[in-house]
Amino acid sequence: MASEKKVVFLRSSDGEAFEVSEEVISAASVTIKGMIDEESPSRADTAATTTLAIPNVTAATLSRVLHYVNKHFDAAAVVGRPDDYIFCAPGDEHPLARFDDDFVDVDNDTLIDLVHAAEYLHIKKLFDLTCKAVADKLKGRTIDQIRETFGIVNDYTVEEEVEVYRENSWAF
Amino acid sequence: MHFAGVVLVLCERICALKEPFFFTNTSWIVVSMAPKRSTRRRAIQEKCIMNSLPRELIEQVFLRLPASFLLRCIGVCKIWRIIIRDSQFAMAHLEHVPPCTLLFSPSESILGTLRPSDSVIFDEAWSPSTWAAPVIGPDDLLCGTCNGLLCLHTPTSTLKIANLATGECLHLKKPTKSLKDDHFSFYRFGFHPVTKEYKVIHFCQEIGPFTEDRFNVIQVYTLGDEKWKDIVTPEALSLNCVKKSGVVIVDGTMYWLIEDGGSNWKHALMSFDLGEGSFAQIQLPAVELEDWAFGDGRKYWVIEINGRYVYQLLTVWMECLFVSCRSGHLMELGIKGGAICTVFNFHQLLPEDYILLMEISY
Repeated sequence: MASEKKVVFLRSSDGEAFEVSEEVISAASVTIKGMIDEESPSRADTAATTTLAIPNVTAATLSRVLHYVNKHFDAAAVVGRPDDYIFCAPGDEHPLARFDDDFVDVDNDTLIDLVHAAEYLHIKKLFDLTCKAVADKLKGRTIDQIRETFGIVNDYTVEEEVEVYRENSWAF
Repeated sequence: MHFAGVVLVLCERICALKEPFFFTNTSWIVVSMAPKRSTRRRAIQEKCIMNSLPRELIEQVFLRLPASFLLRCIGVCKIWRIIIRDSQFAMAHLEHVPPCTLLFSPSESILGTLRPSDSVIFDEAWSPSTWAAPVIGPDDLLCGTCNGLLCLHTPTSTLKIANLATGECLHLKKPTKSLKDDHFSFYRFGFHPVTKEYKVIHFCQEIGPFTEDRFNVIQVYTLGDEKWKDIVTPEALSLNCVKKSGVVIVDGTMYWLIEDGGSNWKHALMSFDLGEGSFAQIQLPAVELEDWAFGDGRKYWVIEINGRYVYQLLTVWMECLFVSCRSGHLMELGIKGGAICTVFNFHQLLPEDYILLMEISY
Protein backbone atom coordinates (compact mmCIF):
# COMPACT_ATOMS: atom_id res chain seq x y z
CA MET A 1 0.00 0.00 0.00
CA ALA A 2 1.20 3.42 -0.93
CA SER A 3 0.78 4.86 2.52
CA GLU A 4 3.21 2.32 3.93
CA LYS A 5 5.94 3.28 1.50
CA LYS A 6 8.88 4.76 3.25
CA VAL A 7 9.87 8.23 2.24
CA VAL A 8 12.97 10.25 2.86
CA PHE A 9 13.50 13.96 2.73
CA LEU A 10 16.42 15.44 0.85
CA ARG A 11 17.56 18.85 1.95
CA SER A 12 19.22 20.92 -0.75
CA SER A 13 22.20 23.20 -0.18
CA ASP A 14 19.85 26.16 0.09
CA GLY A 15 17.69 24.50 2.70
CA GLU A 16 14.71 23.27 0.77
CA ALA A 17 13.45 19.77 1.59
CA PHE A 18 12.09 17.37 -1.02
CA GLU A 19 10.13 14.26 -0.34
CA VAL A 20 10.96 11.15 -2.31
CA SER A 21 10.19 7.47 -2.04
CA GLU A 22 13.04 5.68 -0.34
CA GLU A 23 12.73 2.78 -2.70
CA VAL A 24 12.89 4.95 -5.79
CA ILE A 25 15.81 7.09 -4.70
CA SER A 26 17.74 4.06 -3.47
CA ALA A 27 17.37 2.46 -6.86
CA ALA A 28 18.52 5.64 -8.56
CA SER A 29 21.27 7.08 -6.44
CA VAL A 30 24.15 5.06 -5.12
CA THR A 31 25.16 7.96 -2.90
CA ILE A 32 21.78 8.31 -1.22
CA LYS A 33 21.37 4.56 -0.89
CA GLY A 34 24.65 4.58 1.01
CA MET A 35 23.42 7.39 3.25
CA ILE A 36 20.16 5.56 3.96
CA ASP A 37 21.98 2.33 4.74
CA GLU A 38 24.19 4.17 7.19
CA GLU A 39 21.20 5.71 8.89
CA SER A 40 19.27 2.47 9.14
CA PRO A 41 20.28 1.22 12.59
CA SER A 42 19.31 4.46 14.29
CA ARG A 43 16.11 4.72 12.31
CA ALA A 44 14.79 1.46 13.59
CA ASP A 45 14.22 2.96 17.03
CA THR A 46 12.35 5.98 15.87
CA ALA A 47 9.36 6.56 13.71
CA ALA A 48 10.69 9.90 12.50
CA THR A 49 11.37 10.28 8.80
CA THR A 50 14.93 10.69 7.73
CA THR A 51 16.15 13.93 6.30
CA LEU A 52 19.37 13.73 4.35
CA ALA A 53 21.45 16.79 3.66
CA ILE A 54 22.57 17.13 0.06
CA PRO A 55 25.00 19.98 0.49
CA ASN A 56 26.29 20.06 -3.08
CA VAL A 57 23.01 20.43 -4.90
CA THR A 58 20.73 23.44 -5.03
CA ALA A 59 16.94 23.25 -4.76
CA ALA A 60 16.47 24.11 -8.43
CA THR A 61 18.76 21.32 -9.54
CA LEU A 62 17.56 18.82 -6.96
CA SER A 63 13.95 19.23 -8.03
CA ARG A 64 14.96 18.54 -11.62
CA VAL A 65 16.96 15.51 -10.57
CA LEU A 66 14.03 14.14 -8.59
CA HIS A 67 11.73 14.74 -11.52
CA TYR A 68 14.09 12.61 -13.59
CA VAL A 69 14.45 9.98 -10.89
CA ASN A 70 10.69 9.63 -10.45
CA LYS A 71 10.25 9.22 -14.18
CA HIS A 72 12.99 6.69 -14.62
CA PHE A 73 13.15 4.71 -11.42
CA ASP A 74 9.60 4.57 -10.14
CA ALA A 75 8.47 1.33 -11.72
CA ALA A 76 4.82 2.12 -11.09
CA ALA A 77 5.09 5.48 -12.76
CA VAL A 78 7.01 4.24 -15.77
CA VAL A 79 4.83 1.28 -16.56
CA GLY A 80 1.48 2.15 -15.13
CA ARG A 81 0.81 5.75 -15.93
CA PRO A 82 -1.08 6.11 -19.17
CA ASP A 83 0.06 9.66 -19.89
CA ASP A 84 3.56 8.35 -20.49
CA TYR A 85 2.32 6.75 -23.63
CA ILE A 86 0.55 9.89 -24.77
CA PHE A 87 3.75 11.68 -24.01
CA CYS A 88 5.91 9.70 -26.37
CA ALA A 89 5.67 9.95 -30.10
CA PRO A 90 5.29 6.80 -32.18
CA GLY A 91 8.65 5.51 -33.23
CA ASP A 92 10.40 6.64 -30.08
CA GLU A 93 12.76 3.88 -29.17
CA HIS A 94 12.28 4.20 -25.50
CA PRO A 95 9.12 5.52 -23.89
CA LEU A 96 11.30 7.97 -22.02
CA ALA A 97 13.46 9.05 -24.93
CA ARG A 98 11.36 12.13 -25.56
CA PHE A 99 11.32 12.93 -21.86
CA ASP A 100 15.10 12.67 -21.78
CA ASP A 101 15.49 14.94 -24.79
CA ASP A 102 13.29 17.57 -23.21
CA PHE A 103 14.94 17.10 -19.85
CA VAL A 104 18.37 18.12 -21.13
CA ASP A 105 17.07 20.84 -23.40
CA VAL A 106 18.14 23.50 -20.94
CA ASP A 107 20.70 26.27 -20.77
CA ASN A 108 24.35 25.47 -20.24
CA ASP A 109 24.49 26.44 -16.58
CA THR A 110 21.54 24.25 -15.70
CA LEU A 111 22.99 21.39 -17.68
CA ILE A 112 26.36 21.66 -16.02
CA ASP A 113 24.66 21.75 -12.61
CA LEU A 114 22.88 18.56 -13.54
CA VAL A 115 26.16 16.91 -14.51
CA HIS A 116 27.56 17.87 -11.12
CA ALA A 117 24.50 16.63 -9.28
CA ALA A 118 24.34 13.35 -11.20
CA GLU A 119 27.99 12.76 -10.44
CA TYR A 120 27.67 13.62 -6.76
CA LEU A 121 24.51 11.57 -6.32
CA HIS A 122 25.96 8.80 -8.43
CA ILE A 123 22.98 8.38 -10.74
CA LYS A 124 24.62 6.70 -13.68
CA LYS A 125 21.80 7.00 -16.19
CA LEU A 126 21.41 10.70 -15.52
CA PHE A 127 25.15 11.21 -15.63
CA ASP A 128 25.37 9.52 -19.02
CA LEU A 129 22.45 11.53 -20.30
CA THR A 130 23.78 14.89 -19.18
CA CYS A 131 27.37 14.24 -20.31
CA LYS A 132 26.04 13.22 -23.69
CA ALA A 133 23.99 16.38 -23.80
CA VAL A 134 27.05 18.53 -23.10
CA ALA A 135 28.94 16.61 -25.77
CA ASP A 136 26.11 17.24 -28.20
CA LYS A 137 26.30 20.94 -27.46
CA LEU A 138 29.97 20.90 -28.44
CA LYS A 139 29.60 18.73 -31.49
CA GLY A 140 29.84 20.33 -34.87
CA ARG A 141 30.95 23.68 -33.52
CA THR A 142 34.05 25.54 -34.51
CA ILE A 143 36.70 26.40 -31.97
CA ASP A 144 35.44 29.95 -31.70
CA GLN A 145 31.87 28.82 -31.24
CA ILE A 146 32.91 26.41 -28.49
CA ARG A 147 34.79 29.15 -26.68
CA GLU A 148 31.83 31.45 -26.99
CA THR A 149 29.25 28.89 -25.91
CA PHE A 150 31.10 27.82 -22.82
CA GLY A 151 32.85 31.04 -21.96
CA ILE A 152 36.31 29.65 -22.47
CA VAL A 153 39.23 32.01 -22.74
CA ASN A 154 41.77 31.24 -25.42
CA ASP A 155 45.00 30.92 -23.47
CA TYR A 156 47.20 29.96 -26.40
CA THR A 157 49.76 32.43 -27.61
CA VAL A 158 49.75 33.15 -31.31
CA GLU A 159 52.83 30.93 -31.76
CA GLU A 160 51.24 28.07 -29.83
CA GLU A 161 48.08 28.38 -31.82
CA VAL A 162 50.02 28.08 -35.04
CA GLU A 163 51.78 25.03 -33.63
CA VAL A 164 48.53 23.35 -32.61
CA TYR A 165 47.06 24.12 -35.98
CA ARG A 166 50.08 22.68 -37.73
CA GLU A 167 49.86 19.48 -35.68
CA ASN A 168 46.30 18.81 -36.68
CA SER A 169 45.75 21.03 -39.64
CA TRP A 170 43.67 18.54 -41.56
CA ALA A 171 41.28 18.18 -38.64
CA PHE A 172 40.12 21.78 -38.69
CA MET B 1 62.42 5.73 -30.79
CA HIS B 2 59.92 5.02 -28.07
CA PHE B 3 56.40 5.35 -29.29
CA ALA B 4 55.24 6.93 -26.13
CA GLY B 5 52.68 9.54 -25.44
CA VAL B 6 49.16 9.73 -26.59
CA VAL B 7 47.96 8.98 -30.01
CA LEU B 8 44.51 8.98 -31.42
CA VAL B 9 43.78 5.70 -32.99
CA LEU B 10 41.23 3.41 -34.42
CA CYS B 11 40.28 0.21 -32.72
CA GLU B 12 40.44 -2.84 -34.85
CA ARG B 13 38.01 -5.69 -34.90
CA ILE B 14 38.26 -7.21 -38.32
CA CYS B 15 41.29 -7.90 -40.36
CA ALA B 16 41.83 -8.37 -43.99
CA LEU B 17 39.21 -9.90 -46.16
CA LYS B 18 40.73 -10.28 -49.54
CA GLU B 19 42.72 -8.14 -51.80
CA PRO B 20 42.31 -5.57 -53.10
CA PHE B 21 40.20 -4.46 -50.19
CA PHE B 22 40.98 -4.66 -46.55
CA PHE B 23 38.35 -4.29 -43.96
CA THR B 24 39.10 -3.07 -40.57
CA ASN B 25 36.54 -2.48 -37.98
CA THR B 26 37.78 0.47 -36.23
CA SER B 27 36.78 2.99 -33.73
CA TRP B 28 37.97 6.51 -33.53
CA ILE B 29 39.52 6.50 -30.23
CA VAL B 30 42.41 7.73 -28.29
CA VAL B 31 44.87 5.29 -26.95
CA SER B 32 48.23 5.32 -25.36
CA MET B 33 51.07 3.57 -27.04
CA ALA B 34 52.77 3.32 -23.69
CA PRO B 35 50.09 1.68 -21.61
CA LYS B 36 52.57 0.15 -19.19
CA ARG B 37 53.15 3.52 -17.66
CA SER B 38 51.17 2.99 -14.55
CA THR B 39 50.56 6.53 -13.43
CA ARG B 40 47.12 6.45 -11.95
CA ARG B 41 44.84 9.10 -13.23
CA ARG B 42 45.96 12.14 -11.44
CA ALA B 43 43.37 13.24 -8.98
CA ILE B 44 43.46 16.69 -10.38
CA GLN B 45 40.69 18.79 -9.09
CA GLU B 46 41.87 21.91 -10.78
CA LYS B 47 38.91 23.92 -11.80
CA CYS B 48 38.78 24.71 -15.41
CA ILE B 49 36.50 26.06 -18.00
CA MET B 50 33.24 24.75 -19.23
CA ASN B 51 31.58 26.62 -16.40
CA SER B 52 33.75 25.21 -13.63
CA LEU B 53 33.44 21.54 -14.43
CA PRO B 54 36.33 19.71 -12.83
CA ARG B 55 38.70 17.96 -15.14
CA GLU B 56 37.22 14.54 -14.51
CA LEU B 57 33.81 15.64 -15.66
CA ILE B 58 35.23 17.28 -18.76
CA GLU B 59 36.85 13.95 -19.53
CA GLN B 60 33.49 12.29 -19.17
CA VAL B 61 32.06 14.66 -21.74
CA PHE B 62 35.02 14.14 -24.06
CA LEU B 63 34.58 10.38 -23.84
CA ARG B 64 31.30 10.87 -25.63
CA LEU B 65 32.83 12.71 -28.56
CA PRO B 66 34.54 11.22 -31.59
CA ALA B 67 38.31 11.51 -31.84
CA SER B 68 38.02 13.53 -35.01
CA PHE B 69 36.16 16.20 -33.12
CA LEU B 70 38.44 16.01 -30.09
CA LEU B 71 41.34 16.90 -32.33
CA ARG B 72 39.60 20.12 -33.12
CA CYS B 73 38.89 20.65 -29.43
CA ILE B 74 42.62 20.60 -28.77
CA GLY B 75 42.67 24.07 -30.27
CA VAL B 76 40.18 25.50 -27.79
CA CYS B 77 42.49 26.00 -24.84
CA LYS B 78 45.53 24.54 -23.10
CA ILE B 79 43.75 22.46 -20.50
CA TRP B 80 41.65 20.79 -23.15
CA ARG B 81 44.79 19.90 -25.01
CA ILE B 82 46.31 18.41 -21.87
CA ILE B 83 43.18 16.36 -21.18
CA ILE B 84 42.80 15.08 -24.72
CA ARG B 85 46.48 14.23 -25.05
CA ASP B 86 46.59 12.44 -21.70
CA SER B 87 47.39 8.76 -22.03
CA GLN B 88 44.96 7.66 -19.34
CA PHE B 89 42.19 9.52 -21.06
CA ALA B 90 43.26 7.99 -24.32
CA MET B 91 42.86 4.50 -22.91
CA ALA B 92 39.45 5.32 -21.51
CA HIS B 93 38.37 6.75 -24.84
CA LEU B 94 39.57 3.63 -26.59
CA GLU B 95 37.18 1.55 -24.55
CA HIS B 96 34.31 3.94 -24.81
CA VAL B 97 33.92 4.69 -28.48
CA PRO B 98 32.07 2.42 -30.87
CA PRO B 99 34.03 1.01 -33.78
CA CYS B 100 33.91 2.18 -37.35
CA THR B 101 35.23 0.62 -40.49
CA LEU B 102 38.13 1.38 -42.75
CA LEU B 103 38.13 0.39 -46.37
CA PHE B 104 41.59 0.35 -47.86
CA SER B 105 42.35 0.02 -51.52
CA PRO B 106 45.96 -0.39 -52.54
CA SER B 107 47.48 1.34 -55.49
CA GLU B 108 46.82 -0.27 -58.81
CA SER B 109 46.97 0.49 -62.44
CA ILE B 110 43.64 0.82 -64.17
CA LEU B 111 43.74 1.14 -67.94
CA GLY B 112 47.25 2.44 -67.76
CA THR B 113 46.43 5.05 -65.15
CA LEU B 114 48.12 4.53 -61.82
CA ARG B 115 45.73 4.99 -58.94
CA PRO B 116 47.39 5.60 -55.56
CA SER B 117 46.53 3.75 -52.36
CA ASP B 118 43.51 5.21 -50.74
CA SER B 119 41.19 4.58 -47.85
CA VAL B 120 37.72 5.46 -46.73
CA ILE B 121 36.45 5.39 -43.19
CA PHE B 122 32.85 4.53 -42.50
CA ASP B 123 31.07 5.76 -39.44
CA GLU B 124 28.55 3.78 -37.42
CA ALA B 125 25.81 4.54 -39.91
CA TRP B 126 27.97 3.25 -42.75
CA SER B 127 28.38 6.65 -44.30
CA PRO B 128 31.82 7.41 -45.66
CA SER B 129 33.65 9.80 -43.40
CA THR B 130 34.72 13.06 -44.91
CA TRP B 131 38.07 13.18 -43.25
CA ALA B 132 41.15 11.08 -42.81
CA ALA B 133 44.67 11.92 -41.83
CA PRO B 134 47.09 11.99 -44.71
CA VAL B 135 49.27 9.14 -43.49
CA ILE B 136 48.93 6.73 -46.36
CA GLY B 137 51.47 7.18 -49.10
CA PRO B 138 50.56 6.50 -52.72
CA ASP B 139 52.49 3.22 -52.76
CA ASP B 140 51.75 2.05 -49.24
CA LEU B 141 50.09 -1.29 -48.64
CA LEU B 142 48.20 -2.27 -45.55
CA CYS B 143 49.64 -5.11 -43.48
CA GLY B 144 47.23 -4.86 -40.61
CA THR B 145 45.46 -2.65 -38.16
CA CYS B 146 45.28 -2.62 -34.43
CA ASN B 147 43.43 -0.31 -32.11
CA GLY B 148 43.22 2.14 -34.92
CA LEU B 149 46.88 2.03 -35.81
CA LEU B 150 47.74 0.99 -39.32
CA CYS B 151 50.79 -0.98 -40.23
CA LEU B 152 51.75 0.12 -43.71
CA HIS B 153 54.25 -1.49 -45.99
CA THR B 154 56.20 1.09 -47.91
CA PRO B 155 58.40 0.58 -50.96
CA THR B 156 61.39 1.78 -48.94
CA SER B 157 63.37 -0.03 -46.25
CA THR B 158 60.92 0.84 -43.51
CA LEU B 159 57.48 -0.11 -42.33
CA LYS B 160 55.20 2.61 -41.15
CA ILE B 161 52.96 2.43 -38.10
CA ALA B 162 50.52 5.21 -38.76
CA ASN B 163 47.79 6.78 -36.76
CA LEU B 164 44.94 7.77 -38.99
CA ALA B 165 43.40 10.04 -36.45
CA THR B 166 46.41 12.13 -35.55
CA GLY B 167 48.55 11.71 -38.62
CA GLU B 168 51.44 10.55 -36.45
CA CYS B 169 53.78 7.99 -37.93
CA LEU B 170 56.44 5.69 -36.60
CA HIS B 171 58.93 4.21 -39.02
CA LEU B 172 60.63 0.95 -38.28
CA LYS B 173 63.27 -0.78 -40.25
CA LYS B 174 62.30 -3.87 -42.18
CA PRO B 175 64.13 -7.02 -41.17
CA THR B 176 64.79 -8.05 -44.75
CA LYS B 177 68.15 -7.30 -46.22
CA SER B 178 67.02 -7.24 -49.78
CA LEU B 179 63.87 -5.50 -50.90
CA LYS B 180 63.57 -8.03 -53.69
CA ASP B 181 62.13 -10.70 -51.42
CA ASP B 182 60.07 -8.26 -49.49
CA HIS B 183 56.32 -8.58 -49.76
CA PHE B 184 53.66 -6.80 -47.79
CA SER B 185 51.60 -9.93 -47.24
CA PHE B 186 54.40 -11.40 -45.11
CA TYR B 187 53.88 -8.74 -42.48
CA ARG B 188 51.15 -8.66 -39.88
CA PHE B 189 50.36 -6.27 -37.09
CA GLY B 190 48.78 -7.30 -33.82
CA PHE B 191 48.07 -6.33 -30.26
CA HIS B 192 48.17 -8.55 -27.23
CA PRO B 193 45.38 -7.60 -24.85
CA VAL B 194 47.18 -8.90 -21.76
CA THR B 195 50.69 -7.64 -22.29
CA LYS B 196 49.31 -4.55 -24.06
CA GLU B 197 52.10 -4.81 -26.56
CA TYR B 198 51.87 -4.03 -30.22
CA LYS B 199 53.75 -6.43 -32.44
CA VAL B 200 54.71 -6.57 -36.05
CA ILE B 201 55.19 -10.08 -37.34
CA HIS B 202 57.20 -10.98 -40.39
CA PHE B 203 57.12 -14.36 -42.06
CA CYS B 204 60.72 -14.82 -42.96
CA GLN B 205 61.29 -16.36 -46.35
CA GLU B 206 64.09 -18.87 -46.55
CA ILE B 207 66.71 -18.11 -49.10
CA GLY B 208 68.02 -21.02 -51.08
CA PRO B 209 67.11 -23.48 -53.81
CA PHE B 210 63.84 -25.38 -53.37
CA THR B 211 62.98 -23.49 -50.22
CA GLU B 212 61.41 -20.42 -51.70
CA ASP B 213 57.98 -21.33 -50.51
CA ARG B 214 58.93 -22.32 -46.98
CA PHE B 215 59.74 -20.52 -43.82
CA ASN B 216 61.30 -21.69 -40.55
CA VAL B 217 61.39 -18.44 -38.71
CA ILE B 218 58.99 -15.67 -37.94
CA GLN B 219 60.39 -12.37 -36.87
CA VAL B 220 58.61 -10.32 -34.26
CA TYR B 221 59.06 -6.64 -33.56
CA THR B 222 57.54 -5.33 -30.36
CA LEU B 223 56.86 -1.62 -30.53
CA GLY B 224 59.18 0.04 -28.09
CA ASP B 225 61.82 -2.70 -28.26
CA GLU B 226 63.42 -1.44 -31.44
CA LYS B 227 64.58 -4.81 -32.62
CA TRP B 228 63.36 -7.82 -34.56
CA LYS B 229 63.39 -11.09 -32.67
CA ASP B 230 63.60 -14.42 -34.47
CA ILE B 231 61.24 -17.17 -33.36
CA VAL B 232 61.78 -20.59 -34.90
CA THR B 233 58.70 -22.44 -36.06
CA PRO B 234 58.18 -26.08 -35.06
CA GLU B 235 58.65 -27.10 -38.69
CA ALA B 236 59.05 -25.58 -42.11
CA LEU B 237 55.76 -24.01 -43.11
CA SER B 238 54.31 -22.94 -46.38
CA LEU B 239 54.72 -19.32 -47.25
CA ASN B 240 52.33 -19.74 -50.09
CA CYS B 241 49.52 -20.39 -47.63
CA VAL B 242 50.31 -17.21 -45.81
CA LYS B 243 50.17 -15.33 -49.04
CA LYS B 244 47.17 -17.02 -50.52
CA SER B 245 44.91 -17.82 -47.60
CA GLY B 246 45.50 -14.97 -45.27
CA VAL B 247 46.42 -14.54 -41.65
CA VAL B 248 44.28 -13.26 -38.83
CA ILE B 249 45.05 -12.07 -35.36
CA VAL B 250 42.34 -12.62 -32.78
CA ASP B 251 42.68 -11.70 -29.17
CA GLY B 252 46.47 -11.73 -29.18
CA THR B 253 46.82 -14.93 -31.18
CA MET B 254 47.66 -15.18 -34.83
CA TYR B 255 46.10 -17.89 -37.01
CA TRP B 256 46.82 -19.05 -40.51
CA LEU B 257 46.20 -22.09 -42.65
CA ILE B 258 48.98 -24.60 -43.10
CA GLU B 259 49.56 -27.12 -45.77
CA ASP B 260 48.94 -30.80 -45.53
CA GLY B 261 51.88 -32.09 -43.54
CA GLY B 262 51.26 -35.80 -43.41
CA SER B 263 48.63 -38.44 -43.18
CA ASN B 264 47.50 -37.72 -39.65
CA TRP B 265 46.03 -34.38 -40.37
CA LYS B 266 44.79 -32.89 -43.49
CA HIS B 267 43.65 -29.41 -42.81
CA ALA B 268 44.94 -27.39 -39.98
CA LEU B 269 45.37 -23.97 -38.64
CA MET B 270 48.58 -22.84 -37.06
CA SER B 271 48.31 -20.49 -34.13
CA PHE B 272 50.96 -18.26 -32.69
CA ASP B 273 50.53 -16.59 -29.33
CA LEU B 274 51.83 -13.05 -29.55
CA GLY B 275 52.36 -12.85 -25.82
CA GLU B 276 54.19 -16.10 -25.18
CA GLY B 277 55.62 -16.55 -28.64
CA SER B 278 54.40 -20.14 -28.76
CA PHE B 279 52.99 -22.12 -31.65
CA ALA B 280 50.11 -24.58 -31.65
CA GLN B 281 48.25 -26.49 -34.29
CA ILE B 282 44.49 -26.67 -34.51
CA GLN B 283 42.73 -29.45 -36.34
CA LEU B 284 39.87 -28.38 -38.48
CA PRO B 285 36.61 -30.27 -38.49
CA ALA B 286 36.22 -32.52 -41.50
CA VAL B 287 34.70 -30.39 -44.20
CA GLU B 288 35.05 -30.21 -47.94
CA LEU B 289 38.42 -28.60 -48.15
CA GLU B 290 40.23 -31.17 -50.23
CA ASP B 291 42.03 -29.19 -52.84
CA TRP B 292 42.44 -25.98 -50.99
CA ALA B 293 46.15 -25.72 -51.35
CA PHE B 294 46.16 -26.31 -55.05
CA GLY B 295 44.67 -24.70 -58.04
CA ASP B 296 44.79 -20.95 -57.85
CA GLY B 297 45.31 -21.20 -54.11
CA ARG B 298 42.83 -18.44 -53.65
CA LYS B 299 39.91 -20.56 -52.75
CA TYR B 300 40.21 -20.22 -49.04
CA TRP B 301 40.75 -17.14 -47.09
CA VAL B 302 40.98 -16.88 -43.34
CA ILE B 303 39.33 -13.85 -41.88
CA GLU B 304 38.26 -12.85 -38.48
CA ILE B 305 34.73 -11.79 -37.95
CA ASN B 306 33.09 -10.25 -35.06
CA GLY B 307 29.61 -11.72 -35.16
CA ARG B 308 27.88 -8.42 -35.08
CA TYR B 309 29.57 -7.28 -38.22
CA VAL B 310 29.15 -10.34 -40.32
CA TYR B 311 26.13 -9.09 -42.12
CA GLN B 312 27.40 -5.57 -42.69
CA LEU B 313 30.74 -6.76 -43.79
CA LEU B 314 29.40 -9.11 -46.36
CA THR B 315 26.79 -6.67 -47.51
CA VAL B 316 29.32 -4.07 -48.28
CA TRP B 317 32.02 -6.20 -49.69
CA MET B 318 30.32 -8.87 -51.68
CA GLU B 319 26.80 -7.61 -51.96
CA CYS B 320 25.78 -10.75 -50.23
CA LEU B 321 22.20 -10.80 -49.23
CA PHE B 322 21.77 -13.81 -47.12
CA VAL B 323 23.60 -14.62 -43.96
CA SER B 324 22.49 -17.36 -41.69
CA CYS B 325 24.26 -17.60 -38.40
CA ARG B 326 23.55 -20.03 -35.67
CA SER B 327 25.48 -20.43 -32.51
CA GLY B 328 27.52 -23.56 -32.31
CA HIS B 329 30.84 -24.89 -33.28
CA LEU B 330 30.28 -24.89 -36.98
CA MET B 331 28.15 -22.56 -38.94
CA GLU B 332 27.50 -22.05 -42.54
CA LEU B 333 26.89 -18.79 -44.23
CA GLY B 334 25.09 -18.87 -47.50
CA ILE B 335 26.11 -16.14 -49.83
CA LYS B 336 24.48 -15.03 -52.99
CA GLY B 337 26.61 -16.11 -55.88
CA GLY B 338 27.13 -19.61 -54.63
CA ALA B 339 29.98 -19.16 -52.22
CA ILE B 340 29.77 -21.00 -48.98
CA CYS B 341 31.54 -19.82 -45.90
CA THR B 342 32.23 -22.17 -43.10
CA VAL B 343 32.72 -20.55 -39.78
CA PHE B 344 34.60 -22.13 -36.95
CA ASN B 345 34.28 -20.71 -33.54
CA PHE B 346 37.56 -21.10 -31.75
CA HIS B 347 36.69 -18.76 -29.01
CA GLN B 348 34.07 -20.35 -26.89
CA LEU B 349 34.63 -17.73 -24.28
CA LEU B 350 34.12 -14.94 -26.74
CA PRO B 351 31.04 -16.05 -28.60
CA GLU B 352 31.12 -13.10 -30.94
CA ASP B 353 34.58 -13.66 -32.33
CA TYR B 354 34.93 -16.06 -35.15
CA ILE B 355 37.50 -17.13 -37.55
CA LEU B 356 36.04 -17.48 -40.93
CA LEU B 357 37.44 -19.92 -43.34
CA MET B 358 35.94 -18.82 -46.54
CA GLU B 359 35.64 -20.59 -49.77
CA ILE B 360 35.11 -18.16 -52.54
CA SER B 361 33.65 -19.39 -55.75
CA TYR B 362 32.74 -16.99 -58.44
